[in-house]
Amino acid sequence: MSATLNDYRAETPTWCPGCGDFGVLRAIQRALVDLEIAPHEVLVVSGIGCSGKLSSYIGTYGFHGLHGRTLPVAQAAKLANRNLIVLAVGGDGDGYGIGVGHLVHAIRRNVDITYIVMNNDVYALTVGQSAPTTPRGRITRSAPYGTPEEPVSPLGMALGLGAGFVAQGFAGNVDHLVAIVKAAIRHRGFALVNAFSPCVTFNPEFGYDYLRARLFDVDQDPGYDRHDAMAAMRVLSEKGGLVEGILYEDPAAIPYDEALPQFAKEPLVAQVAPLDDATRQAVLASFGVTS
Amino acid sequence: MATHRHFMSLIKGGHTHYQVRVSSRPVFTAGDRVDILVAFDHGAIEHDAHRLHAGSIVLADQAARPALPAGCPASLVVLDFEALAKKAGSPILANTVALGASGALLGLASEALDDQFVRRFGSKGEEVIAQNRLAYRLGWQSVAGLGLRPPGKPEKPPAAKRLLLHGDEAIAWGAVEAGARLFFAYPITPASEIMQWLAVWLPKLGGAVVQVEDEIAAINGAIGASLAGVRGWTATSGPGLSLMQEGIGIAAMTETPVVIVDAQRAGPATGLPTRPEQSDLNEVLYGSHGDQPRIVMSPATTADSFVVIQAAFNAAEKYQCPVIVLTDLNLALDRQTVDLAAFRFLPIERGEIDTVPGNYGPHKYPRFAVTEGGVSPRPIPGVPGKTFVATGDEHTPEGHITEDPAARVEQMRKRLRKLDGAATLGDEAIWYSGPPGADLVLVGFGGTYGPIAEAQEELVAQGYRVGHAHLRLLRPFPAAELARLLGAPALVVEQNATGQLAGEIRRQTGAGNLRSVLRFDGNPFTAAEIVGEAREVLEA
Ligand SMILES: Cc1ncc(C[n+]2csc(CCOP(=O)(O)OP(=O)(O)O)c2C)c(N)n1
Ligand code: SF4
Repeated sequence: MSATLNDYRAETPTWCPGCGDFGVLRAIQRALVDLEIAPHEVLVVSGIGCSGKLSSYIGTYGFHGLHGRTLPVAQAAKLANRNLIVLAVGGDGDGYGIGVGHLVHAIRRNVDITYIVMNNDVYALTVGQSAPTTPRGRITRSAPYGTPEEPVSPLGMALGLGAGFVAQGFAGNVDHLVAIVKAAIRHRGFALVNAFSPCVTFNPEFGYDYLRARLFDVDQDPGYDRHDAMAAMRVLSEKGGLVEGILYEDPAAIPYDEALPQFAKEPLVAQVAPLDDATRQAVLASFGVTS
Repeated sequence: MATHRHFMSLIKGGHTHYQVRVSSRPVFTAGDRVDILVAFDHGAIEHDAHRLHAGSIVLADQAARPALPAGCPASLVVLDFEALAKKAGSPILANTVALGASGALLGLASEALDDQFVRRFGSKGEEVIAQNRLAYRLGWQSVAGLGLRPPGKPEKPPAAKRLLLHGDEAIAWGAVEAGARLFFAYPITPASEIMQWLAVWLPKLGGAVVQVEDEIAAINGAIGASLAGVRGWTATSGPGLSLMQEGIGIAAMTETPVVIVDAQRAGPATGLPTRPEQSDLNEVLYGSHGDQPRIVMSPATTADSFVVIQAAFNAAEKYQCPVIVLTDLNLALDRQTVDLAAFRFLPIERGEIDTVPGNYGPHKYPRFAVTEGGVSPRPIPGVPGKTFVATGDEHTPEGHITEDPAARVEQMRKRLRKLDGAATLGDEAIWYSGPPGADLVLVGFGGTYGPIAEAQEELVAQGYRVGHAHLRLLRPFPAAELARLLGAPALVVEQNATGQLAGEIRRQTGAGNLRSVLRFDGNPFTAAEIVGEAREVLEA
């Protein structure tokens, strides 16, 4: 029996009415139902922030860990049990600020997980400070005279690092986000989805109308080649990052866990046992014991 | 055989030495005395001259223009290591020449190491083997004819299967015996040898070493792996442990098992990165914010490292909390010969792991059910009908985030009471040896076991009634057990500047009659200095 949306509903969300995170949650729920995955087959690792609450609302197995540390947990869980569908979710502060080092290495390592960043250009749970995505000059609680730094360009960075799947979605366009999340989960290897998720309370400037008026949808552009990383770089640069869709996918990317021959057997979670006799003898021999 | 490697945080230059002590009975330290000193530079003689005695022989390279300091009673034998090495094929063979010279002194045959060279250099080809054999012989011949008498030669010990390994290797091997197949770490002295051993063996066992970007990723990786149902773990030293503090807390709060090895070195900051110290004790006992359950174990010997790491994995799963295994640089890196019989294999005990499908609705399963013992069954992700979220926010028994005061108090108490009366090392939380009603008890933990045990032996031989209590468990602290042993005055021997163990003993037992022997100069304790300090107390 395949799962329904109801199976993917747990606690009642405590987000503000109109928060973009509702749209992201709905998109992930629908993607999992469409892919005929059951909730117990999924682990959602979430960060700290308004966005990080998502793991409480989705009804799958979940880990709501430390601020910025979703990716180490998610990658390790996948290596422990390759049968799990592992998603990491969190805010832009979580992923591009405090946790950005892990993102760099998750891209290099290419473990088969999906990372969805709920990007609202602000630190919301801590009530409105600048985020690494906040545009230069924007006034926030931590920058009353205007944010002094340039914002990060997460997708450009991911492409530059050789990420195998790079996409951008929008909580105001759930149908499209469903398609993007499904493709990200199906992609073999690390998949990054930057999902614009407006914070109606602390950053209304970066809201639904603003985004809807500006996002350029590459998936609707018949001339766009998603297997061309340079094309992705170009469109990001031309549109100032305001694009939507699957920007880049490398179907030939080989995930970390598939590249290691020893992982071919059953998942490690089924293999918690002492050494077999032959291996123990080999270990003893390496320490100089002759039998 | 016991060895000690003295090295500096440099790749070239500085003073480095390797000390080897041979005995017909088990020894746990490389000893205080030097019988044979092989010196390649003048500094080597100066560095250890104070440990030479009238029977000592110094084999020194001519190129170093060696001379003994005034008043040094040892005999100096000057050899031309370099010329002999060149004669054997390459100046790089000077080490092997010196080995041959020492072999002759110890009465080994001129072909004694022929097989060893095959084992060691086999992959480098016949020529390298032949050159090493020749170099050994040339060194051997240069000394064999001199009629020197070795200062002492041990009897051949009774036949037994013996291993030559250090604590890091014992820990790594113990972990794979405990079923751990995923290891997450970032290189650091003196823990890297754990990673390096596992990097060789884990791929053969279906597992992997994941060399992560930092220690924050290491601990979070270990936690993620454990959450998913394997035995995740990591190993580090002080600087890495400091980065792991927040992670230790999330494991405690989410009741996820995790094992962390802290192989201590001298701090703070980078401190003396290649030198021994035991100054992380307060950090492992008190680090990470908030009130949280934690187990801290500390192996005393190389073989004990093997046992304790297995116990650590069992305890982490049984009590669903972080377990820190505290070792130190000497224990971690000094190779020793150990009888195979000393390596105890513990059965794998996984505690309340739940793999039975249920039919709970989404997040209705009471993963954090309030139980009498504080531990609740732990489903592994993948089990149908028991989904839950493990959150670092305070939560209800079903794992729902809550700020309800009663729920908070109930969960906090549940987590903390898990370790009430926990039996993690059975009745071996403290190793005690000595007469009942001793006049003085030497107390220590970790890698000081060797020097303290030897000091005790010496004191007993001198007619003193002295005991030795070595703590293997530091959390939960075996207060009652230690208090019973501390009827007598105690001398607390530890490698740090502030007496962290003594402070903990005072806090936990109220014992007042403690004196500290501290060392924090970057060198290991010697038995002799402990004997001296003990006699001062005993004769006061
Ligand atoms: C180590 C650490 N530092 C700081 C915080 C405080 N903190 C909680 S959420 C947050 C920022 C959240 O911003 P973001 O990740 O963008 O998520 P959002 O709330 O916007 O969804 C911060 C700084 C923390 N929890 N942990
Ligand atoms: S503060 Fe912003 S991000 Fe947080 S729930 Fe409200 S709208 Fe969403």
